[in-house]
Amino acid sequence: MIIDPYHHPADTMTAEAEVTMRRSTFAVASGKGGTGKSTFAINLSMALAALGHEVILVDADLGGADLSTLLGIHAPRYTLKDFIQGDVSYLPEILEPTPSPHLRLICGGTDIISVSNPYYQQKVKLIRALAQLQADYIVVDLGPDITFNNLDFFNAAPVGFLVTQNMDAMILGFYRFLKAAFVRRLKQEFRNESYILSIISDFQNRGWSHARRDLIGSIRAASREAQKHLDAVLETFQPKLVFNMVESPAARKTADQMFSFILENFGFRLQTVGFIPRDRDVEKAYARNEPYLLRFPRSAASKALYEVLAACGLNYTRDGVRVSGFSDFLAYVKVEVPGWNLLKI
Amino acid sequence: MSDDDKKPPIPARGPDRRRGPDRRQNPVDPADLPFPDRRKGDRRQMDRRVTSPEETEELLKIIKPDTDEGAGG
Ligand SMILES: Nc1ncnc2c1ncn2[C@@H]1O[C@H](COP(=O)(O)OP(=O)(O)OP(=O)(O)O)[C@@H](O)[C@H]1O
Ligand SMILES: [Mg+2]
Repeated sequence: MIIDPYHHPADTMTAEAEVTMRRSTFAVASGKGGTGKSTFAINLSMALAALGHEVILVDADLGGADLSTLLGIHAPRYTLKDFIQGDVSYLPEILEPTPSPHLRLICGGTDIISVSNPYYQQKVKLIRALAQLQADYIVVDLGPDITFNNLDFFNAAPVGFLVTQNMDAMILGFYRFLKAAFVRRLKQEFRNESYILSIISDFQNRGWSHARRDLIGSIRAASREAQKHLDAVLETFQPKLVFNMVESPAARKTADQMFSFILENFGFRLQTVGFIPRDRDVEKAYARNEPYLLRFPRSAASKALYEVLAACGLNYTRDGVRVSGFSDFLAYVKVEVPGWNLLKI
Repeated sequence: MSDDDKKPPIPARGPDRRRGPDRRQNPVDPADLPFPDRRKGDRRQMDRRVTSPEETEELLKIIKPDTDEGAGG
């Protein structure tokens, strides 16, 4: 095999992967640590499971996997490490049951450092295997950093959630992540068009501030095909923003500002799908390794989570029945986990 | 050329005994962010910044207007 030393293998990642990812796969990212990604991923998965869907939650925070702990599973039989290293060749073998009969977990492997940076082939293998899992929804919890790994998983999933807080550092963090993901997507989409690639490289090299608004315009102006292709990309690149630990209505204003800023500069729509308040109940449930949705189903955070579901059009049961409101939703949550400590509520 | 003339392989590393594909191929180095285009050998393309200082400033201004109503920090 001849390896072109100038071609970075990671650049072809999404090209191979995108073909196989399913529409019902959600990635959860943030660009900054500690914004509440894992909490969101767990509770979103639980909510979908409560509505009867078969859900698989994947801990792809390869450097800091903690979902198994947060779900009270202390000794998973297998983790992604075993699959990535080839000790287990069939991904469904490493599915762990959770307290919910409809939710299964793929644990991340944290015990060796090398897993946090899998090689290209390993990533492709993982994404392919994820795409073949039998489930209604797959929720992939990512790590906080702007790495190829996280960008590629984010781009490979048809729906990407970004969990942020209304604080400068968190906003900048998700913006950087989102921009890196978007430009990476463009480079992948236009990988066979050297002229467009040169526009993108030029844009990167000149410094974003001068050329930023020209990027989309320059690609559009290049040719009719490029314009069509770009419009198709912009239509499918629809990240969903979740404000977490919200403490004031100012978050709504930030959401609007970010929407306009992104639309103006990059031409895609950043939909804010919810505002989850800072809630003591979330912390208490987290400390007990339980999803807040089950421990404190009536909490403000649970209500906000339901609103996220509704904003995303996910408020349907597996049988296609529309959930008409929060109290309707709670009825499903209650029957979901008979074994859970619901009685103590 | 006979076998004797062949140079011995570079002895520094033995065969890769780890499982899976040969990991010495296609290493992915996250430190190369963002988007290195090594074809041009341009040092600036190894710049790790995703945003420029001007852009950061512009963004901060937008989310944090003069009043303290915007995002806190
Ligand atoms: N809505 C909320 N209200 C109060 N506390 C919250 C809320 N959401 C998350 N937290 C708390 O924030 C902390 C971090 O949450 P979590 O582990 O989900 O973040 P993360 O983004 O996954 O972190 P990492 O980047 O390390 O993976 C936890 O202590 C959790 O209880
Ligand atoms: Mg996490």
